[in-house]
Amino acid sequence: MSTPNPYQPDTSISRPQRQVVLAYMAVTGLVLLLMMVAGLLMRMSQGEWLNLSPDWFYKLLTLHGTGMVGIAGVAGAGIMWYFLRQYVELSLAIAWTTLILVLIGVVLILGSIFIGNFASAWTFLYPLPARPMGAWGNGAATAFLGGLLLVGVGFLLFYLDSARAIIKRYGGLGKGLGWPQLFGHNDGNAPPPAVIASTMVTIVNSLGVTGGAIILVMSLINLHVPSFTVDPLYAKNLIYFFGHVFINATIYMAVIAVYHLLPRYTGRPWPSSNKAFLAAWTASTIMVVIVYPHHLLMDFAQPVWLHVTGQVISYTSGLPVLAVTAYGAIVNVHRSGIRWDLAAGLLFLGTFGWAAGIIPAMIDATVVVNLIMHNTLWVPGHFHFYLLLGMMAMALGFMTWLVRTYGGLADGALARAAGWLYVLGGIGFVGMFLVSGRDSVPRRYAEHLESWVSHGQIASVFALLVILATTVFVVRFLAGLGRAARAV
Amino acid sequence: MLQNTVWLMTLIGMGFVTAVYLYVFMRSTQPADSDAVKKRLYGIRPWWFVLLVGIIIVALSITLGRLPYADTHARAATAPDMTVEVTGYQWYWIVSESTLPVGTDIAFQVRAEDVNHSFALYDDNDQLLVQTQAMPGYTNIVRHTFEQPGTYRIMCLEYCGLAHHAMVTELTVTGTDNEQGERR
Ligand SMILES: [Cu+2]
Repeated sequence: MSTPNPYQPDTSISRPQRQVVLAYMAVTGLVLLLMMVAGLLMRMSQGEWLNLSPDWFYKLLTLHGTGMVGIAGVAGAGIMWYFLRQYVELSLAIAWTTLILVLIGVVLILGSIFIGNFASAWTFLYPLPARPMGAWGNGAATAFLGGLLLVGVGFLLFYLDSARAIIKRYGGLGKGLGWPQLFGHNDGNAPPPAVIASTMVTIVNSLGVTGGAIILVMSLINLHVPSFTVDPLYAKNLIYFFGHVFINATIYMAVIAVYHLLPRYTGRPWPSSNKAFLAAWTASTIMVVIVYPHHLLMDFAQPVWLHVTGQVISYTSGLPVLAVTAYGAIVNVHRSGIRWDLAAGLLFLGTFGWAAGIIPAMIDATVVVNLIMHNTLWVPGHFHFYLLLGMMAMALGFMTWLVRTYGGLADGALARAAGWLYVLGGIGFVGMFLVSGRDSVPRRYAEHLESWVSHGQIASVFALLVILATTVFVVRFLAGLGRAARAV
Repeated sequence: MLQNTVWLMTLIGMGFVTAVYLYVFMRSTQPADSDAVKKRLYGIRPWWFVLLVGIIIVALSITLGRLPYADTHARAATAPDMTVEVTGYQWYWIVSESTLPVGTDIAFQVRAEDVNHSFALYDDNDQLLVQTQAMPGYTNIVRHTFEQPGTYRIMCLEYCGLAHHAMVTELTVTGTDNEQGERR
């Protein structure tokens, strides 16, 4: 067997097509760093190393949450587009349109927060945007909700284009998920992982973004026609349906990079045209859509069957991930003779972050545990685990691979040191969230009780390490960006 | 305390995943026959998968039998000893009774007047005991029996605007706890 060359450029994607992906990832890197700094400021303020007034704390909270969710969506979309484009005819114009709409939405959101003092958190739970006790005006709330709506419209266009392209090439979304091979005779010709994952994400996110658009429009109408009211529990269901699906889907997009790149390092193909792989993705498609009630376990007025659904689906939705993706990565790497570099390390780390992060997530989705953990820092603990050490690790790994392959930027000692720093800082940082959750520290609190202050201080130190490491990754990416964009 | 159990289970679970990953990472650079590795590792997958499903079924059957919701609660058939009405406003609580007896099965009827809040009971060690959402237009009922006299707090756990973190009110739990074990 010949030595694998992981840096073989993909000839099935043209230079302009690669450039749009590079633009998505460049936006990701820059915004990611800024949002990390916002996060650090909040943690330092809780640790009393910084004196943020509550209104600034909650503005940064709104910025950090909205910005990170948005940028995870952009990163996921960039990865999905890069690999999916090699199998189906995606529209370059729509890819640029999505990015531009998202950026216009971002400008509106920034204006609402920094000029209009808007601070409802990303959750914009009805009717808080309209009832801030004078902290912000209707204009600021309109700019925020309108900006978010624009971001949603941008992404909806993106997914509609993927749906169109997948249907055109494969003859239907069911075929994109490999259903003929899953439910009938497996001829071994199921679509490649990029297509299967993209089909799943296209389905769930079209639903999720539409749910988000519905509640955004209803909230916008309520702002200007107060006699038009919404049931708060109905609003909350729609918001968490949208929020859960959207953020969850970012991981299912990012993992495409793992499926397609890790085998290039190990020389071992990733078996995907088999019933286990296909069943896992079909099961995930359904579970990601129906798992959101675990966000409403403390709404005792909801029907009990919804609570039970939330817990049961939360328990089972981790199984396909563990059995197919995390274990698949382990089988791919184990005794493969792999020559590690920063990109491969981050991709592998991403599968670890996802698999390990599922554990505190499942535990929190247990109703009796949620009774004492819900809305404590346990919650950001588990989702930062699989976003920072999972999803973003995969995205940063993909970015590193891009500038290595197209920009010729090889790893040095600094890059490797940054990789280990990211692991150390990341585990320490999310670990402190989990410790805080164990100690009943509420999430979204501008001011902490005396007994919680040291948690914020330790977390700030780890956060700083993560930011240092991420700065190295992003600066390296930007340094290689020009050459990667010009390469033939 | 449930918090410690949760923490321990999380450490065990994450520790196991970490150990597997570290082992694989450390052996990754020593090549072995790819087909043999795949055959062996994918061969054991059904076994641990079934084991995991078994663990999930056991965990579900233990935990789903103890739901705190009024209409599934074993005690729902029996009336509470006492009812306390709690209403959340930006940014304060109105409580119908702020001095409560120890060892009494209390039903907190939780509502909100303006936006979403969340009713969370904390003890004087800053430990969260029980919570439920407070939402306009709905009443969430959560039952709790104070086992020790002392000072407790209601804090808001759903972000409700700029003074969210300051939305705290004290409860005093009094009485002799002779039925409820020892006083600290
Ligand atoms: Cu609040």
